[in-house]
Amino acid sequence: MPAVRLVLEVLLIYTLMKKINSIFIVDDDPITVYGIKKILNSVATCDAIFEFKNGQMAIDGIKKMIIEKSDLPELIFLDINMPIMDGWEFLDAFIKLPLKKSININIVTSSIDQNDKDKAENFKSLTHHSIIFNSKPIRRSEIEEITTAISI
Amino acid sequence: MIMKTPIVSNQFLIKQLPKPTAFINKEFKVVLASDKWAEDFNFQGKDYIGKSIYELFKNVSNKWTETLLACFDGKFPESGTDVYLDNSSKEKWFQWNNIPWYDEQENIIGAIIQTEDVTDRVKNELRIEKLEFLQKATGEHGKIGNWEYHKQQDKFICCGMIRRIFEVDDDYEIDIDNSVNFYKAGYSRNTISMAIFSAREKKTSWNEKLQIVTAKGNEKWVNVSGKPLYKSGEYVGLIGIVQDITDFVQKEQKTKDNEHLLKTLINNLPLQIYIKDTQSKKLLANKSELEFLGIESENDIIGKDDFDLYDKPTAQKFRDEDVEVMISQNPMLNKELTRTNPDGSVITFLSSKIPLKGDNGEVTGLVGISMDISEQKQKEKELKSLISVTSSQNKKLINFAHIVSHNLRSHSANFAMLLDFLASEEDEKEKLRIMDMLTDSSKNLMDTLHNLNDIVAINTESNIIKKEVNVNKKVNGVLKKLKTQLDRNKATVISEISDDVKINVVPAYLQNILTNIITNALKYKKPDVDPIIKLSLNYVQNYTVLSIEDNGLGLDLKKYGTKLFGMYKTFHGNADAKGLGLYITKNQIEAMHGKINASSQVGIGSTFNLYFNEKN
Repeated sequence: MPAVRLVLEVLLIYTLMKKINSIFIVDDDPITVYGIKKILNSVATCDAIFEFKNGQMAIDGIKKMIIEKSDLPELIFLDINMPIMDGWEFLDAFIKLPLKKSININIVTSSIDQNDKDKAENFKSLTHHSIIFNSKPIRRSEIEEITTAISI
Repeated sequence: MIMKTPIVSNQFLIKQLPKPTAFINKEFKVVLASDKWAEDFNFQGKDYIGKSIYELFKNVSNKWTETLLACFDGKFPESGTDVYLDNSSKEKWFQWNNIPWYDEQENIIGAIIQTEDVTDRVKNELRIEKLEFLQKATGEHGKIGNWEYHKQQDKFICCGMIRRIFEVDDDYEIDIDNSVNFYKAGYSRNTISMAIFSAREKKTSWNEKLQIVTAKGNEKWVNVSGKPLYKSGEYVGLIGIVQDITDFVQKEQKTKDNEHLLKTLINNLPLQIYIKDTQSKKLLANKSELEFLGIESENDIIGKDDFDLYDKPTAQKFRDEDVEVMISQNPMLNKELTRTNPDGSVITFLSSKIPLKGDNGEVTGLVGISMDISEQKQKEKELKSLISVTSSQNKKLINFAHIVSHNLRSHSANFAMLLDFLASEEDEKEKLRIMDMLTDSSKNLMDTLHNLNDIVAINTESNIIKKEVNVNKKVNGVLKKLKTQLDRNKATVISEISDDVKINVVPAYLQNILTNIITNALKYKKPDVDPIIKLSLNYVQNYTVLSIEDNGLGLDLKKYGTKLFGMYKTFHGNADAKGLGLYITKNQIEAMHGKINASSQVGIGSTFNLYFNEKN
C-alpha cells in the first residue's frame, strides 16, 4: 500500500520538520550554496529552493514573481561579494519593492568587518523586512533557528 | 705891504661863504644866508629871507629849537642832526651847528646856523648798523663766528661766537698760532696751516670743512673760510669766519647712515622692492628687483615704467593695479601672480603694492614688494603629490588587506563547513563529493595566494627597471601568443601605431597588460558580432597614450566605474571572470608611474587608455 505509506511519510515529515514554501539562495560560491542546501534539507522541508549567482538575477526573479503573483520566498540567504550586483546593491533594490509581507533576509558572508555589520544594521532600520547578519561558516544550529522562527 | 681890502657889504660877504650858513634873529627868521645854504635846501629863487625856519623846514626838531634858544642865551650848545625831504621827497640828513650872533656891541641878536649835508654818512651808519645786526643774528643762528688778524699790530680779534665754538673762557687770549692748535691734529690742522700760509704768500682764500677739538676736549665739525687783506697791494692781515656745523654734519651722517642701513637692508632682503611715482615710473629698485628684471644698474631702470620692461598686456595689468591702489589708497596685499619665462618655466610670486602718501595725505606713488614663491609652490606641489601617492597607497593597502582577509576567510569558512559535513556524513557517495569540493577549494586557495603574491610583487618592487621597447613589436608578440584565441573568436586587430614608436616600460608588465586587455575584449565580445580591436597612439602632456578600443558588450561606467579596476570585481557574470586582470593591470601600470582609464558604452564597446610616463 504505497499510497498509505506515502501519506504516513508526509505526515511524519510534517510533524518532525518545519515546512517553508520557498527559499532564495543568492551566492556565487557553489560550495556555500551546497552547504546551505544540505543543512536546509536536514532541518526543514521546502517546496522550492531558488539559486541565483548574483543580486541582479535574484532581483529579476523576485520582480518576475511579483508580476506573476506567485508566492514570494519566505527566506533569502544573501551573499555580499558577488559580481554584477552585490548583496548591498540587492538590498538597496529589494527594500524599494512594494512588498507588504515581511521577508527574512539572512546575510551570509565571510566578512567580519564591523563596517559591513553596521551597514546591515542600517538596512534593518530602513525596512520592515527582517535582516540578520551571519558570518561564515554557516552552522546547522543557526539555520535551524531561522527556519523554526519562520515556520511557527 | 698891506693889501687893500675891497669894501664890500656884510650881506655880500655872507652870501659867498663856502659853508652853508644862515643868520637868524631871535624870532627864528632868516636874516642872512649863504648861497650854499640856499642851494643845499633848495631855497634858491625862493623868498627865504625874513622867513622863519619853522616855515622853511617842515619838521624842526625840539632839540634844534632848544639849542637855538640856548644860543640866544649866549651858550654854545652841541650840534645835532635833523632830516628833511628834498624836492623829490627823498630823505636828506643834515647836521646843524649853532652859535650866538653878536652885534658890534656884543649883544646877542640871534644865532648863526651852519649846516652840513650828512645824508651819506647817516645812510652809511645805518647800513653798518644793519650789517652788524645781520652779522650778529646770522652768527648767532648759524653759529658763525668771525675773526680778523692785523699784521701790523700783530693783533687777533674775534667775536664771542668764536670763543663759544672753541669753548674758551672770555679771558683766554686767542691768537693766530694757538687758534691753529684747536684744529684736530692731522688732516684738519695741516689743512688750516697750509691755508693760512698760502693766504699770506700767494693771496689765496680758503673754504674748508674741518674738525676741531675744543678747549673742553669736544670734537666739532666746522666750516672755515677766510682770505688775506690787502691795503694798496700790501698784505696787512687776514679775515675769516668759523661756522660750527657739528649738528649739521651729525645729522648728515645720521641721514647717510640711515640711508646706508636702508639700502643694505632692502638690497639684501630676499624680496623685490621698488618705488613708483604716480605715473608708475620707477624711482627705486633694489638688487633683487634688478636681478629679476635682468638689469645691471639701478640707473637703467629709474624713470622707466612697466611698458618699458614687460609686454604690453602684462604692463597694462600692472598699471591698472597701480592706479587702483593709488586711487583707493588701499594696499594690494600678497596677490598671487604667475609669469611665464621665455624658456617656458613658470614663476609664481606674491605681489604687494602699498600706496605712498605725502605730508598732505596725497598719494605720491607706491611701494611694491614681490616675493618669488616658485620654489615653495614646487615643494607644495611635490608635497601634495606625495600625500596623494601616500594616501592612495594607504587606501590600496587597506583595500588589499581587506580583500585578502575576506578571501582567505571565505576559503577557510568553506573548509570548516565541508569538514564539518564530512565528519557526520555516512553516505559514501556524498563523502566523495565533499572530498572533491575540498580539493577544489584547496586549489582555489592556492590560486588566490598565487595571485595575491603577484600583486604584492608588483607593488613592492621598489626599483622597477624600464627598457625602451618598440610598441608594435610588443603588440605583435602578444597577438602571436593569443593567435588561437583570436582565431577562435574570429577577431580582427587593427594597429594604427607607426612602426618606429618606442616607449619606456617594464617589458613583462607591458606584455601582461596588453594580453589582459585584448583577452578581455574577446571575453566580453557581443555574442553575435565578431570582435574588432583597434590600437592607436597619441601624446598627452608627459604621457604616451596607448588606446585599445573594442566593439564588445560595453559597460555602464556610471554604475561600475569605481569598481572597474577593483579586485575580485566582475561585471558580466562570465564563468571565467575572476576579477583580477584589470586590478593587476592597474597595479602594473601604476608601478611604471603611468595611469589607466576607460570609457565605455553599453552595446557599443569599451576603450582602455594606457598612459605611459615618459619622464620617469
